[in-house]
Amino acid sequence: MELVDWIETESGNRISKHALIHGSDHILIAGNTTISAKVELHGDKPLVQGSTNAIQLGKFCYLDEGVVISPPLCTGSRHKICKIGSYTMIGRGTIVESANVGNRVVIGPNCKLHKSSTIYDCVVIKPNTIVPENYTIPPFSIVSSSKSPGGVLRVEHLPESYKKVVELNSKLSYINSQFIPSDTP
Amino acid sequence: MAKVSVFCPCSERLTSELDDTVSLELSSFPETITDPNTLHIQPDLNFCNQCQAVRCRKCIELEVVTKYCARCLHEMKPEYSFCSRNCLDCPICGNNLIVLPNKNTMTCSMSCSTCDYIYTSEPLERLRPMARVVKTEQNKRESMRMFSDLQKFYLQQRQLELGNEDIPKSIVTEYSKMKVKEYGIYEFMRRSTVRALDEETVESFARLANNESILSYDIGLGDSSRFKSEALPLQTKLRCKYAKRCKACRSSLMKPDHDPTSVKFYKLSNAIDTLPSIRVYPNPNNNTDTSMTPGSIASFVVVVQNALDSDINVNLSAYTELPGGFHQVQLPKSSFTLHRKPESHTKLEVLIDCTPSIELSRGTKASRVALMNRPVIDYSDDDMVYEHRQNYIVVPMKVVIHENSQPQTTVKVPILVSFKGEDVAVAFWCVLELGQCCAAA
Ligand SMILES: [Zn+2]
Ligand SMILES: [Zn+2]
Ligand SMILES: [Zn+2]
Ligand SMILES: [Zn+2]
Repeated sequence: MELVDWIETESGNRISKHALIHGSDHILIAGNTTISAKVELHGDKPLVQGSTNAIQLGKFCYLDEGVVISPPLCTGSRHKICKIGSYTMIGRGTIVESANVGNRVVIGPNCKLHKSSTIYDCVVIKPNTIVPENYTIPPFSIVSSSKSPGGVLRVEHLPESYKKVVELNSKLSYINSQFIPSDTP
Repeated sequence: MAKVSVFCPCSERLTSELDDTVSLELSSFPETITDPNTLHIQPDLNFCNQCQAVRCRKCIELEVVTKYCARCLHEMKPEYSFCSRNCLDCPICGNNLIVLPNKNTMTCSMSCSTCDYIYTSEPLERLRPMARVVKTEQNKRESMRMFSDLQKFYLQQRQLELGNEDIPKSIVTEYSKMKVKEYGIYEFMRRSTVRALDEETVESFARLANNESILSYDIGLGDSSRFKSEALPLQTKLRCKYAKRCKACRSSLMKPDHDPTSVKFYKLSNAIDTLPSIRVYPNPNNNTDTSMTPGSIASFVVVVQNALDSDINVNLSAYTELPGGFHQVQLPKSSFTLHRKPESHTKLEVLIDCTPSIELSRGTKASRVALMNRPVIDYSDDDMVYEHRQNYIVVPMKVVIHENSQPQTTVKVPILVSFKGEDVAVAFWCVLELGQCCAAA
């Protein structure tokens, strides 16, 4: 993609002109975050009372092409905020309806994080993983789906070094404008 | 990019004379380096400052710091194995159960987040943790009763054998009668709720053992309506937060904060913070051979980057004799000094400045500007240092692909990296997986 296809904001956010951002008044982006082409941010959903923001993104987030982020449906037809922390990278085509995704999280391509799931800090979710509704992933986890359809999630320990590794890769992803995956054991 | 693994020597046979200087030289090739279980990516390793050596999961000791539930992240008592609150798992698929909105105040219903399993509790008189509600229900079930009957039987029989006097005389005489018959257990089963296997069950077990009825067994599992009414939810297993110690010297390598949600550490000694980082790429020059056919010489580019706050002297060496399976490596520029990691190296400008040109794309303005301010690198000459600035160096590497290499096998080469700095002197083996060997043209 050419440089002319991107808008760079004062806070260093890089947003593709081909991203689909709905309800930008309800979306907060900290800075140095990359939003690639065909990314969909659904900030235009009706919110639960007292909420003003639908989506919040930390610094150095990297959303690869075709990522979809929707605030989770709560009561009736109202939605609550979807918060995503800093240094978090989301791979191509992944759909996120989580309530919370922590700092230093890598979500591989073609994953689906069902509504109101919670991902704590320092987590690597392998490509093609489905995280069920309301599911909680504790800090320092490697997550993958078992092969059988509808199978149980495998959640294993992620080594402590990844706190640094993921942060570094999120910055390199920003500098190079490409999703840099973090190899895991 | 090639996969770079670091070899942990903890599976090596111990030599009679342990000499630390031996490992710094190229006099011995490790026996176990061909075992994939001894190879680890750098972020998976710790570093023991005391021993000046890498530590893998085999040569560290784990200590439980906190036991907690992975679903609700509540700390649990060390003697617990399952969440004692409201977390329950699906007995069919193993994923989490979600509490359904309550219509009837007397019962509680939960549904699986993934499959169509639904559980409805017995009427509840008062508010209790769901884990306990399910446990009580489970204890009432036939299978559990049979188990506890059997447990009682064995306990009593054991007590009898030990001549424990606390058992009433009537029971003692009854059991002694059984013992004489040597069929005590059958007699007991005949009278209690524990039933002996009937012919039909025995037959079906025999069929299962013969693998005949696996198919019909599968069909039984697929019929989830049967489970909907029968199977109880599973209790959620607890997870541990560990601290790590070096097995050799017992010094602490990692101590985390005890709070399950925290990612803080009181002590952290990772290999990535001490060992220089080694990254390998195919030579980007179009005219060089990277095809890796048997007998050819493939050309690569090696990045070595200092992780320490002090300057280091680095030496790369390749084994000249060929142990089975490996290929021969040539490193024309193998001795060099790397500067210390700059201060505030996590700042964006500094980070870009410390990123080798081969790892910068032209995808953003920042990376383009950085590349424009550096001399253009000619990768066609494979006898020179390509780039040497900040805390990194980029050098050539040539690999002679073994004549007898089979196509589609991974080309692996071992190199020994030794480095000396202010307070460190370490040598470690790396195994580089460079890609697949190609069939000769
Ligand atoms: Zn080891
Ligand atoms: Zn729990
Ligand atoms: Zn289920
Ligand atoms: Zn030690």
